Amino acid sequence: MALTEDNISLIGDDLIRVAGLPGPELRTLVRALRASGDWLEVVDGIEDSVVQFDPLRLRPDEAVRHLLSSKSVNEIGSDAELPEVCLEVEFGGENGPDFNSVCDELKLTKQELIAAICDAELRVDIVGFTPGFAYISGLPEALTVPRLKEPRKRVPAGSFGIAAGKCGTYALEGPGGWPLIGRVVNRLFNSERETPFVLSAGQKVRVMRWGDV
Amino acid sequence: MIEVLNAGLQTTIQAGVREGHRHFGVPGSGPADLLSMSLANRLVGADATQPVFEMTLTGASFRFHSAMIVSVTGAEAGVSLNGVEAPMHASILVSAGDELEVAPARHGCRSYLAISGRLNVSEFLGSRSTYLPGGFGGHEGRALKAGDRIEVSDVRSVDEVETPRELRPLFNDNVLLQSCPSSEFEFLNEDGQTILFEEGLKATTRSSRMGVELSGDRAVSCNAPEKQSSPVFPGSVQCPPEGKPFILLADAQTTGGYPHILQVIRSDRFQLGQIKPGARVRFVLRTPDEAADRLRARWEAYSDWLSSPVI
Repeated sequence: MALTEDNISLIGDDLIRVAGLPGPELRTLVRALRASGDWLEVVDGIEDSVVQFDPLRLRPDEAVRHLLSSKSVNEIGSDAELPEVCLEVEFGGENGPDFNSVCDELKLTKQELIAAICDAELRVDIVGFTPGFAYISGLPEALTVPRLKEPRKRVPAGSFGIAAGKCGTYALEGPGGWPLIGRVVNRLFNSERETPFVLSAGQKVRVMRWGDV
Repeated sequence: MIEVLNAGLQTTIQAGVREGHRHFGVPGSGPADLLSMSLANRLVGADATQPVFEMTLTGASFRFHSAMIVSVTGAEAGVSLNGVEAPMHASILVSAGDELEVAPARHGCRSYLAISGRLNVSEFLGSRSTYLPGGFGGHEGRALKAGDRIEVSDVRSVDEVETPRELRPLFNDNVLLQSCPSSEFEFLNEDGQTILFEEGLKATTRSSRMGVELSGDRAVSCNAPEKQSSPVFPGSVQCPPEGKPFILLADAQTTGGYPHILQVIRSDRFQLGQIKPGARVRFVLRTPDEAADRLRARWEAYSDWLSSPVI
């Protein structure tokens, strides 16, 4: 699938929006654009993406032409799909202060809730809201709980929450409004790595239970 | 070493923009007014993105524990060294024990203090700029407070210079922002456009390094269909349902779901950090091509004075 003029629009003097592509194609294209090094920022939205260019280097029409000349998704190839990430989650306990209340609210036993999450085919929608916070979709609809009425001022790095039918992971410590049901054992952020955040938009995720509840 | 005597309303360390991590939800941060930081650093012979102090509205005061050259740019404010008036936009030689005070801004909102040495502050993801909500960069990831002491190293001797008069940005509290139409511009009705482009709006007190809220005489109505979270950038103007548009600044979130109606053009973005509560703001429409011409013209005007295009 190639990018056409219908998919792109200038939404500022240094921003081009890409929309109207099916999700997986859009994510693949976005990763290729990012890897090209031609763009200052390539940012994922849920249904669109925006690239930022250096307006002293490219005029707006040149930037549009350059974007249109990008390789099509077919040329990029399917190996551009990111490898699935397996998150080991320790459910409940000190790092999952809302685990019991979420089970009660959903009328599930602890084992049932864990099984439902581990069986789900999950995918990262976007990383945003706060640095490194990943919105992960793919939970069964029945697992919908609301956000906390009062957000917590400080949530530890690695916290694993569910809300609004999604999972959310906090790569860094920060404020957070999602009910927390556990902690991801893997490091979600490592400033020494070339890609410091482990999760990226479009990436497949599988949750595995770590330890006992 | 530099000691903070009074940090005023909010003083943070800012430096280069934290680039290339927006897709992980990491905002760029850096100074709210990139041009004024560059000009301050030029006066102390430093790279445009060397860490500086960014002060807000009320100014701040500092004590220097060793000799160095310093400079103050940005919002128009009185500057004094040991109680004696000192110039903005000029290199100032300070000695050990000297105290420098930046008074409340008369026009504009943020002032910058640069020094001819390196402030020893922490780097995070390639930048020393403070991002307050995330608690990283700068001095312990937080706003400075009275009594904070920041080590200075590599103090250089530099020629004392002044910013050429014609290159000093003048800030007043009637701000005109050239902007391109953005994704949901077409959903603004005629009255909304009248408010944005003719009547103007007032900056409210909901104002921070993340954004500035604007309030018109009436609500600005944008009847865009609900949209999913979409990327936004410094300079993005969003219009929430209650009709008070807000302009995003350096620390803004990387995605948002409100209609994105306008995008302030690159050559005007430095002004966003100088909008103080109560200022009048009016927008003017430009095409991306016109905006590119203006950016090139501005850069040409500064290219003999500044070494890299940080505007």
